[in-house]
Amino acid sequence: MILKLNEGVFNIEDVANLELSGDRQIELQIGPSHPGSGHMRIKVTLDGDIITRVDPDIGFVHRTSEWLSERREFIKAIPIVERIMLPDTVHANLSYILALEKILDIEPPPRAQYLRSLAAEINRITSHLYGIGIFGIFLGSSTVYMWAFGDREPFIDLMEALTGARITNSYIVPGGVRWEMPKGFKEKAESTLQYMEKRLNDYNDIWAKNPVVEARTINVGVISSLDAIKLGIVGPNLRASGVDFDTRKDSPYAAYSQLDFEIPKMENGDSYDRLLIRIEEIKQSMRIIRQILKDIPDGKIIADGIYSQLNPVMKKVYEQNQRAMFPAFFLNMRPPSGESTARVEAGRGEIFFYLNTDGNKYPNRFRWVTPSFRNLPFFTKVAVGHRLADLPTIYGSIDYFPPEADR
Amino acid sequence: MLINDPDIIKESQVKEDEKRGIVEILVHDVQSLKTVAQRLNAIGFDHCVSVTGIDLKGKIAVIWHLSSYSKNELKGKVIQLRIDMELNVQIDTAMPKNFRAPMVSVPSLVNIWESALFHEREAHEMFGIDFQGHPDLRPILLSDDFYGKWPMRKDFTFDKSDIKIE
Repeated sequence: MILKLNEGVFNIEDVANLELSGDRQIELQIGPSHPGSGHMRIKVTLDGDIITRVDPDIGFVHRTSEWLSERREFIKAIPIVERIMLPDTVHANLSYILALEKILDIEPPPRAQYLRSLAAEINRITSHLYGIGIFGIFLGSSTVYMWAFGDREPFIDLMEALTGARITNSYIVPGGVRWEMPKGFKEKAESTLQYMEKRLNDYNDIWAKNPVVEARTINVGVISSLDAIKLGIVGPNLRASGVDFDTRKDSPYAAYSQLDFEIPKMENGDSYDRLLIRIEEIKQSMRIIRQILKDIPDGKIIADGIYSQLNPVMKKVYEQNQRAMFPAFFLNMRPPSGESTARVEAGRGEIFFYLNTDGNKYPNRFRWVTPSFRNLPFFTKVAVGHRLADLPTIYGSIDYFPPEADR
Repeated sequence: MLINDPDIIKESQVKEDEKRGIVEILVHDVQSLKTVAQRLNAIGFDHCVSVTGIDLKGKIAVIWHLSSYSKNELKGKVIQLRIDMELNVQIDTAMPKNFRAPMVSVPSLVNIWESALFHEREAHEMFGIDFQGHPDLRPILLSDDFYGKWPMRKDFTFDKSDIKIE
């Protein structure tokens, strides 16, 4: 018998009877109002304070992105997918466009590829800082929360300088990107990176090497590499368990095949490793941004096939302001029938896109899977056997974002 | 050719499109689905990326997208295991009207790929695919009152009389 604390009235004799029968299981509901970074409910069954069963109840922020996108023109899906993954908009945008470009058979020019990687890496840093901040809140360290969200700001300013918008950039369009890199961007980016390098040392001192954080995270929420593979975990959480997989290396997109970077990997797969690997990935992202700023080739920012469809006024805007406006083709687009898949390594893990078209104005099937949805087994498998007080640590360490999982 | 296993080729139709990132294994019938799935797992496709359906008007295509973390040569690849099913589950007239839309019935592959657990739950509530042998087919993203309406099908229309404008 399981005593349900939140359902109905129970009296103390029930609890005493449970004690006598040797069965002390209690069901506790955490949420649905904002246990951390969004609305979800975690139904936890407890024996004493040991977790025996976890049932994540998600869907409170389901926004029917697939349904909406299947009833709109192709170009109108970009804002929809972006709003699902607010801390990580560029990757959502990029993954959709990669799938669409494969059907349209458009290849963006090299400069656009580099600009895509640049935007993606800046976005990865903001996404990781967001995750670190939320983890800080879960462990009761509001200092780290304030720091991380404050340090996210210079990178959001960089995105604003590059794309004109802070978060929902809609920067990437079929065939290229919408804006050229502005004047003075390289200097601004370099000073931001130098600032962040200095700050990372501070993070080490107050956060990663903090004895309280170490005590609460080391050996908590351990997942072995075999289990991580079996459960289909993605992203930094997978690599923290020692599995060597990153879509940027294993199936390169944008400019990643020409860039030199390493994929950080950890051994233990506990919450502490998942914390460290995000800091390591920020370092690698900064290395990639420096390379892009040094090596970025000259040229157009949209493919010739798209450029030739611009009308004379738009071409004038392109030459003068270095800005690619939307040709009418984008709205009237009827891609040939077919199907395509795309994979992108977002901040939290791999986004998978499957697009099926039948020659119409709207997609026939628009399917995408976000990393947080694939990290759900952490609750059902990894949290079991821990104490209830460890659940926030596990939740925070996997960087789970409910609106992203619910889509 | 990524898929050159004779057992799989015998039981299915393999289509590869390198440029669009598509490797499709279209299984002929339900009996061969499990055989092919087990064979793919043995080759090294160790996790499930996505499970979804496509409404083919009268038929539903059920698609498992699979990939590999452990085999280096398969790492960058996604394959899709597909089976086209007729709407074959009888309508239970004792059920309320909303619940009468017919389902399709396919075997669940959770025994082979544990990572398909939540994906199959989602495909079930969105398309009305009855995964035989799935341990837990409760709705996951939708609310309980939406169960049985299969909203991702093409013929789905939502009941506007429920919507009150004040």
